[in-house]
Amino acid sequence: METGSVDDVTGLFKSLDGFAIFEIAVIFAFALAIVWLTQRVLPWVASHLHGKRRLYTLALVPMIRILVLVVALVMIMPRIIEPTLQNMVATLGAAGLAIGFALKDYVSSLIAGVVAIHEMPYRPGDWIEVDGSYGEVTHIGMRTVELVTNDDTVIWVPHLKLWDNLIHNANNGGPSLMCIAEFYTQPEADAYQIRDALEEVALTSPYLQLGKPIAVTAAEQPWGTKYRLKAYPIDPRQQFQFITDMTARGKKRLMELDVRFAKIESDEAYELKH
Amino acid sequence: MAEEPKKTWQWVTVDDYEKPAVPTVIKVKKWWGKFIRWITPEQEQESEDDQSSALELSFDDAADALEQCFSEWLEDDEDNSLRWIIAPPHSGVEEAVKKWAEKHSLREMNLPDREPLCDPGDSTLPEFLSKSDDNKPWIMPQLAHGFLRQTNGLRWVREFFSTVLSGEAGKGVIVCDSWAWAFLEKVWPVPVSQLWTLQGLDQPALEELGLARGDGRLRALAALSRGNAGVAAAYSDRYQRSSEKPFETPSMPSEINDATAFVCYALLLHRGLNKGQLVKVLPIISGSQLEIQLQVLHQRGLIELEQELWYVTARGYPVVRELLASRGFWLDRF
Repeated sequence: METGSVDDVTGLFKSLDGFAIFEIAVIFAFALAIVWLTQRVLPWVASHLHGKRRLYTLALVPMIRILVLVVALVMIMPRIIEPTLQNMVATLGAAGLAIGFALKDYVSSLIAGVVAIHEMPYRPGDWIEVDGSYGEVTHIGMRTVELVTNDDTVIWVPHLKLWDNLIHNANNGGPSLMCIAEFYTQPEADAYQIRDALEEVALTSPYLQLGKPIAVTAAEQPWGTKYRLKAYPIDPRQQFQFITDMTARGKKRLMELDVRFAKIESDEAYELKH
Repeated sequence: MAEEPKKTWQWVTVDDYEKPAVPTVIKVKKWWGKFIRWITPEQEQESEDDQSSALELSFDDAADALEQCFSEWLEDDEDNSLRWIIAPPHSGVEEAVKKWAEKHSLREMNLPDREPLCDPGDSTLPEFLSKSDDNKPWIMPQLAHGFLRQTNGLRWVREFFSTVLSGEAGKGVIVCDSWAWAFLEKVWPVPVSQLWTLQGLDQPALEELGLARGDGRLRALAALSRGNAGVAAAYSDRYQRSSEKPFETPSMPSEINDATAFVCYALLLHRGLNKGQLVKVLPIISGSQLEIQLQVLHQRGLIELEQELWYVTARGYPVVRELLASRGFWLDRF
């Protein structure tokens, strides 16, 4: 009985001669070379492009990688295992057991990586927030997604987060990303005058994407009125500069209109005064 | 009945404007040239910008064509409608309209000084037309000079739209740069009719004007200039009109950033600015950085200083337009 089981297991695999090993090595090396090349060439090409063309080029990187790896796997498998239904079921069952116990999180991340490529909750070039970290997706790896924040800090987020975390995608694969500059004024100020002035501020910013709308909203707060100036920059990478430009010129314009800004005093200052 | 041959200078509505077709061979050559420029380290060199052999165009015929086009409207005292003329940079539209307006002694509308235009304390705006009982039609020579893209800089142009579109100012012709018009359509989004321009020059028109000879040369010049007369003339060479040598365009600096694109766009949008006005329009760029950008672009032959205003050159215009298109800027329609 025991001898029979060992024979069954060994019968799954083909006897690997030198040529088969050489073939597998060539397929593996070739696949890695294509992946390596696309991971270097496409981001380089994308760095010379802007807007949609840049985003589409970047999105090709993980797509090509997964395609190449699947093709390589399909080519390698019949060289190792006799491709019968019985053999495939036995191999996959054994692999599943090993993965279930030992490499659950790792494999979950890998699978989430494949799902991420299919569902595209994030693509290279997107600006996303996961678990409080906000940055640009610069690379989608097999297990992790690489974000670069505005402070030039690199964050590797496992694809695993995809299963049970909210992913906030600010531009969702397109070049349009809404930016919001906030202003806080005292409640007596004329809201329509402020709205008109702030719209003008956005319209005259060199970063503005002219084809997109500009909007100003106002909301009353206990300490005054909060205005939100919403507009789109030409390129999502300009978002922080765009907000800076709108904030600086917006403040200057409101001061020219004698609008008084709301200030919240600290508790100590309040006690000193009263 | 035989079809009437197409005229070289033809005034058309903006919707009927046609750019010359760009053959695939030229597109491929252009992409290949770009690719080569990427992979080969660029040598910093100053622009040759030798325009001594370029041909100069006369726009008298274009003015005559405008005469035929607008004569009925001009003579009709009952018709108080407006005519808008969109002028792509260097296209010769402004020159032709100016000649036509001089011939008819049209009243010239006053343009505001750009310097105090942005002054928040200055609430009075200059009047459009001098007080006069004269009801003759008027002309606005260049609407792009009536605003600055700055927080206070659009007041006059808004007032202008409000007055002329309500019919208060009477019958008139408004000339506006094509880049400024693309922007002003967002500032005052009221569709206007009677929007005119000069038809783009195709290969037969370029040949008739003597700007190039031979199919290959004509095709290449039409594609490069996009039918723009001034650009085509700037690339013409009286000694090598049949040459198969590719046109040498000025190259962009190797280090291009947002500031480079903003400066180019601002110069096109305002149809020329001086340094002080550029500082007002682009406060996010420091004065020294602006100076650097101006010098670098000037060295490359992409911009030039003329009567204290910086302009995009005719030879540099196709390169600058391509840069702005690649970076997703709001372009003109031409």
